[in-house]
Amino acid sequence: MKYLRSLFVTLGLVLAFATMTFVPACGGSESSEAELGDAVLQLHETGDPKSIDPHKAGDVVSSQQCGLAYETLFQYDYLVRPAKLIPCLAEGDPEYDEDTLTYTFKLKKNVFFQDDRCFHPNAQGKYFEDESEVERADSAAGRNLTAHDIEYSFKRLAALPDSGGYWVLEGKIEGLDEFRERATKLKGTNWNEDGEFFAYFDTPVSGLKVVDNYTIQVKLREPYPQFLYAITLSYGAAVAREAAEYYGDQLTRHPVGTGPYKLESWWEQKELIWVRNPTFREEYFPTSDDPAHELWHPLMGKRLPLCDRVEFRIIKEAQPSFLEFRNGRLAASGMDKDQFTQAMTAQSELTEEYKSEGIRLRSYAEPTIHYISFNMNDPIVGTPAGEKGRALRRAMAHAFNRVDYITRMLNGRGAPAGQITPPGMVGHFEDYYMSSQKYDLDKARQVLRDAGFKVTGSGDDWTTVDPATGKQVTLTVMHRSTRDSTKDYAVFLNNMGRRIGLNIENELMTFAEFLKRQDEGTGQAYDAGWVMDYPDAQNMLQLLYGPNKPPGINSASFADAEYDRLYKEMAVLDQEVPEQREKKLKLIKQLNEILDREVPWVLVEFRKIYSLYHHWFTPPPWQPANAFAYTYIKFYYVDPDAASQVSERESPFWPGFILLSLVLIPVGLMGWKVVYNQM
Amino acid sequence: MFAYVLRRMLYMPLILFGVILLTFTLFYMVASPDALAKMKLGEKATRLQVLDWQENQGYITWTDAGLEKRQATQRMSTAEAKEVEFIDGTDYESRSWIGLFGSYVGSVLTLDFGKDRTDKPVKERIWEGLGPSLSLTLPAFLISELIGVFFGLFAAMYRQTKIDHTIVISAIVLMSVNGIALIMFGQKFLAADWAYFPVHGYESGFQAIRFLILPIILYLIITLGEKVRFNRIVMLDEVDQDYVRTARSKGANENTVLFKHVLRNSLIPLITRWTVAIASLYVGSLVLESFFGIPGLGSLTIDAIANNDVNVIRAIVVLGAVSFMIANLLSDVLYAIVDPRVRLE
Repeated sequence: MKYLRSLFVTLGLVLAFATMTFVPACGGSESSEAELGDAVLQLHETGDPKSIDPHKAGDVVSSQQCGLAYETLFQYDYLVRPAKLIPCLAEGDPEYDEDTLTYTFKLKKNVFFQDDRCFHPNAQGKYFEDESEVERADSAAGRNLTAHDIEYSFKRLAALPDSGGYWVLEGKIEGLDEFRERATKLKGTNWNEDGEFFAYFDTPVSGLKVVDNYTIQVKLREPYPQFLYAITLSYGAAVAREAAEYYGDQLTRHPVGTGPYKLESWWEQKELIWVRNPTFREEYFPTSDDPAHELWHPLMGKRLPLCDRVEFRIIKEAQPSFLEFRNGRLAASGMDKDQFTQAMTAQSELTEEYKSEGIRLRSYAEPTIHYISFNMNDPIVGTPAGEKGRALRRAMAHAFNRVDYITRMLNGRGAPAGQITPPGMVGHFEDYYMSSQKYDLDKARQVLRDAGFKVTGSGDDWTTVDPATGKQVTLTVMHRSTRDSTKDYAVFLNNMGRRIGLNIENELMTFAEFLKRQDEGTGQAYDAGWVMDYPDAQNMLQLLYGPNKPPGINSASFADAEYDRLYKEMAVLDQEVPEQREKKLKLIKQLNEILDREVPWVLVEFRKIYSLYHHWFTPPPWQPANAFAYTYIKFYYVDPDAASQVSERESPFWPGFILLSLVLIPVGLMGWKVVYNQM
Repeated sequence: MFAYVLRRMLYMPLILFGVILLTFTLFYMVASPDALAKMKLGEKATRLQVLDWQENQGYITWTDAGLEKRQATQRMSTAEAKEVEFIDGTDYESRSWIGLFGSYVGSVLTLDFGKDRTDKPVKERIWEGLGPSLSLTLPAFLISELIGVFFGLFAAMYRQTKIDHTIVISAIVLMSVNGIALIMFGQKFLAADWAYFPVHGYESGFQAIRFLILPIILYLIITLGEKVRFNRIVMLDEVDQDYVRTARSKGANENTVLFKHVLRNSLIPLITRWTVAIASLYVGSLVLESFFGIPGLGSLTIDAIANNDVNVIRAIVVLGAVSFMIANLLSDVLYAIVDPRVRLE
């Protein structure tokens, strides 16, 4: 019995030790629980935000988190479509002097930064990590927002070398580039090296003039009709100098803004918890008599934000997030391919099972485009190949069956792209579809024959031979991920190529390698996509503007003098001004026609989003405009009573009993056998 | 033995240097300074933004000609300025590979792995992730090893009987079922539908236990089959040895034979497996952490790979190399302790 006893003692010790190892789990931050009756909105993200510093936040997740804490001079109207800017921190519309290219912004006077330690007199000149926990807890009232904060924020966007957003202001504001040149040199790699950098912000910038505490003038270097859109991105958010200097580079994790929520905790890979900012200024849900806005009528006139607490859970995998949504622990959810099949009927409607659970569906087009970009410098498919290159590009565009792709690869969640501007945007023409992008296999083969290629075959199996080389034409498409969905897409392209005789090879690689190859221009074609930053077609058309060639955003290295000339003309036209809008539309059409002729891209699809939400969550009026607005969460509403009725499920007895029996019976029998053996 | 351990410890810095050199070179080839800048700043970053970031991070230095050119662009329109190209070697000097490597080695030696994509020091991320990872993998590993040894012994004890066949068949069945499928099954039915466990999440302190039970159970199921098979084979190699027959002929009962003689003599292959496994415990169980939302190092690694967080990946690789070196040394020492025939010279 001695050894048997030893075994059980060991087992006991291991279990005790195992339990003790739970203790190291005391990491991260403790978060306070929501109080009964609080409206708690639970959403999820697939990963942590890159930054909650608005001047560094470039991706959607980070921008949305910034939108909870920070505000910009303007915001997108919550209900009005198409997208329209309305004042946020600004008091009314800006004045614009066309002669001097100067905007004058007046600020609201009742705006305060949230309470924070950085405003405490004792914290001035100190770095938060050098203070004790007790000192850090000694908060102070946030101060009033002034024009100096707007000036400081524009300067800070320019000064940070790791600010992803300076592209919105580069070359636009008088004196700001010069300020940046020196500032980026002064920026150190830690707080102790930043003394000179912080002091440099006292240097005036000629294009930023504080008229009084609540008025600021911004002088542009050239007409920039997208300016207001650009500063409505999180890059234009107001940041307090005290906060930037107290937290240094770690402002990215300690947001101090004027927005509706305060960050309570951020536990990486787990959750971000936001609570209502008690000092948020008075702002109310907009009113509207439009019957289309009936869903939001009960909320109209209520003070914002509508929820007391917002919890973002980080859930990387699709299954757990969808299960949590079904169990009522998330207010809304997207759907992956499998979940879409599960939740939707063949007519793209929600199944009865889901409807009976109080789940509802919303769908909307995203202002994004998916395309394949050819390297126009490539000797086979690019400009150097002349007509032959153009024929290959055109043949690929004709051979791409967009409807089939959207049906099979995206479960119908998209619309074929036949022009560069997505639906819902100014510059999208309902009756226009590029002739080069129409699916027509016969035409694709004919185009190749006309260019001198020898095309033979039948059915789905063709061969296109270049008489110059005597070999089948091979094209390589580079992809920025190695995921399964990318592999499926690669097979789709492969099959597509076979139907027109092209051997399409696919190179799947990491994003870093993809960027490297794209910048070096060593690929033949790149699978690409673009999410619009603001509702102006210029944001899309710049992707093919010659001077933006790699390492810029024109990954195709497309260079067409006529295109560049028209683009420059179009970019400075303001779509909000009726007489300019007409001319702008005409130019956008002409630019599309050039692209139709040259075919630097195979346009694939405009993505459509299908989203599910519970009946107790009042969702936003999902429309393309939402893609640009990251400050919308203050309008989201959860009915706390209805949400709390999502009862805890009772665990059934039998499955657990059977599973336990399956384990315990054999183990028990073996134990008995050992004991019996000993006796 | 002391001399042997000392010698092995002296090799460690060399091996570590090799690992650092290899990982640095590989990452340098895959993620160029331009690509790193774009991953940090976003694809929309302009050329000047990229160059400013690279200068700040020590990848390049502006030349006087480059600065003059840059100042000239400030007097141009945006369109004209975009036409201006900044050329490596003329307008700025790129730092050599060897210089960058030297800086990296210096940083690693001071345990400074840089910052992750959220600007948090990688060192802190690793330290914070270690607890949750070990709280999952350590109990799971210990329990599964204990059960694995128990079943292995049991199968060996009753070899070629129905008990042995049942254990072997069960082990093969467990090995055959795909781990991801088991995780998805467990999460869907045991957690979401039958609500015996939370679907996803984690809390600090003892509250973590309720979030860890299901992942631990799944870990056991996924790994047990292979362990039982391995242990059974190891034990079977021993049960036919002369010393076992001697013990039996001296009247020792079966339990004594198994636990005193067979188990002890089977420890060498077991130690080899344990030390390798222990060295990788720190990264938790990559998939389980990701599926169940346990904010450990496994989840961090997956996140870093998905987001090309080069600093984190490099740090995890270096940490892995150090762990394996220590584990290897430990296993050699343990061999000598459990088997007097092994001499470390």
